[in-house]
Amino acid sequence: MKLLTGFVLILALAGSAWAQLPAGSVYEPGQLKPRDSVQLLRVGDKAPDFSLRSLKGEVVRLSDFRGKKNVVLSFVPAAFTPVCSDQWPGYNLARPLFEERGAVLLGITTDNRPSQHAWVQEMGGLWFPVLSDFWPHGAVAASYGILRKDGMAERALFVIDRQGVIRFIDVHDINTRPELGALMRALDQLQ
Amino acid sequence: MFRALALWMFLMLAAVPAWAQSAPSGLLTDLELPGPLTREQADYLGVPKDAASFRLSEIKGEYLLLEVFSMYCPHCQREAARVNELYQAVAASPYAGRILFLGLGAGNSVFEVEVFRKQYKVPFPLFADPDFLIHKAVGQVGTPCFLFLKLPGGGQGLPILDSLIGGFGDTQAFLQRLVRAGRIEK
Repeated sequence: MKLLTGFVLILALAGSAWAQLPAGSVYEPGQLKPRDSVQLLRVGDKAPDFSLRSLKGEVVRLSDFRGKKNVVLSFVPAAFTPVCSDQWPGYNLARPLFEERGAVLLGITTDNRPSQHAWVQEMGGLWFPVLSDFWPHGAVAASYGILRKDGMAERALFVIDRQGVIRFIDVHDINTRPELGALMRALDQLQ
Repeated sequence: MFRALALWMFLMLAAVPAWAQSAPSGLLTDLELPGPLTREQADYLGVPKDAASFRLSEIKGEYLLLEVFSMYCPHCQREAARVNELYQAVAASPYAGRILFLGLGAGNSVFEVEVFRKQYKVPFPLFADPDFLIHKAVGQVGTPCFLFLKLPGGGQGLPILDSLIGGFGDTQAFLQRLVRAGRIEK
């Protein structure tokens, strides 16, 4: 029996090692309602201004970029969930594409900053500011019409031009990742 | 006795995730990939450039290392330079032209695959699998996943000689592992 227990213990330890592989280390929320909010904003609307604190502790204001940069807002639902945990690392690879198009990227979730910090560390770091819309909970997401009933933001992209006008909106099925090419083509339209 | 049995049961349950992550084995469906191909892709794989599609079994080689990756996967990003190194090691070995490489971007559009290819200067053909159709056919594996296949395969599919989910570590050691798995003679 001791021999058998030892054998299974080795198998269990092997399991822990494999569990560090890409699949399986994040919370699996299952299939969610694709969209759970009512559209508030349209292309051509002025983007609601906001100020949120980043992971570095800086206050980031949307209006600070007025006249200087195009802005991409990437709202994702929650830290440590599968689709979000590959969407943003993908934007790491796409950094030159944003920069070539004169755009800054701001990542926003309704998580608090300690959770965001742990998650970003887990992902190996991100080049763009990650902003917390935790308190008042989801106020910025609500002002963009994308706060879900469960308190998460939709998975949504907004492209805002240098005049502060919304030029592209993709409130995506929360269960799937937006395609990068469509976002880049939207930024190309601003050139 | 009861305590020992309870411990044994607990450990069995703890071991389940390892088994659930096991790498593919057996036969791989003869996947159909979309064309048309670039001149470089067609020359490397030995398939017609203007074909609307082609199957893995049509690739002119003895062995194929199929990498399932995603532009969005940080592990794939970290592994990219090592995969290129493996490609160069094969090219400089007696197995050049016998072991071919091909990448499938699981859930990636053509645009996203191109971003990955350009960023890491990937020297072998990469194909998009935007709707995860091919990814499903290979068992929805985690990425990166490497499948070492015998070409051209038979009517049932292509034999999977070896497979690995995750990074392979030392390049030369992995090459030797593939050579052993394929029983490839110099």
